[in-house]
Amino acid sequence: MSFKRNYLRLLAFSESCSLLGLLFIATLLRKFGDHPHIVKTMGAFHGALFLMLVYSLFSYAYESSWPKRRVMLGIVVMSLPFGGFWFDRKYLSHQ
Amino acid sequence: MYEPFLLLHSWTRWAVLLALIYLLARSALLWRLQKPWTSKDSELLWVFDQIFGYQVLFGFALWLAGSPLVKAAFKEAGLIFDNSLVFFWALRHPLTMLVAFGVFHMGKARAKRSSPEKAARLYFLTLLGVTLLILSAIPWPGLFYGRPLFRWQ
Repeated sequence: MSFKRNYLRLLAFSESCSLLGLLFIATLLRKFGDHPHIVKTMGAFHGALFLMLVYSLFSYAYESSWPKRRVMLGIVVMSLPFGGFWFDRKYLSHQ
Repeated sequence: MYEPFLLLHSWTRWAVLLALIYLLARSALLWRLQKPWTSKDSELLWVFDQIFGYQVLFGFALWLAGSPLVKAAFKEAGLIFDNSLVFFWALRHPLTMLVAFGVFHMGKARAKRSSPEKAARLYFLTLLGVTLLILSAIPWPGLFYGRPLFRWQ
């Protein structure tokens, strides 16, 4: 079970970093640099990671018999900047 | 968003198929040799479960937000049954893959509840069903709804 949890943590970390990259780097590069397609590319990358995270979170939560509220909280929180880090620290890092 | 997701969906297909073929062969071997399904096998099945789940979600995102043929079907529902190309992309492909996904999860749940000796047989039958369903709904090149095997853009 620990490799599944570690995989979920890695996915949560990557997704959170990609969201921060999209919000704070890609948008700035589009506005001030000459990179018109960067938001589209980063957006697709982040979107794919988010979908992967949602599936893996549901799958892990089902196997670990998590309460539904925690799963819903995870989905909501991980779609916010820094939310993935918070969720990892609160629920994934010490189980 | 549509093009990168299409590229990803096209390439993830190979990961799904490779994992599926390996697990099918593995479960057939264990069933034939009357050996139990091990925790290592379950871990590999989990890997397949993840890849297959991602693939279904990528496909769902394409279906819902991007595909021009599906958009046409949303605008005019009658097109689904009038145009076979629209029928395949708007209905047959997604529905068959969803059924395959459902069959996989139902079979997995049944096999989990059975003894390790019987599990290999149940996994083999489930994965065989999933393989046939997936193979029947992939847009193989040469068919009128065909797409390239390896998409580069």
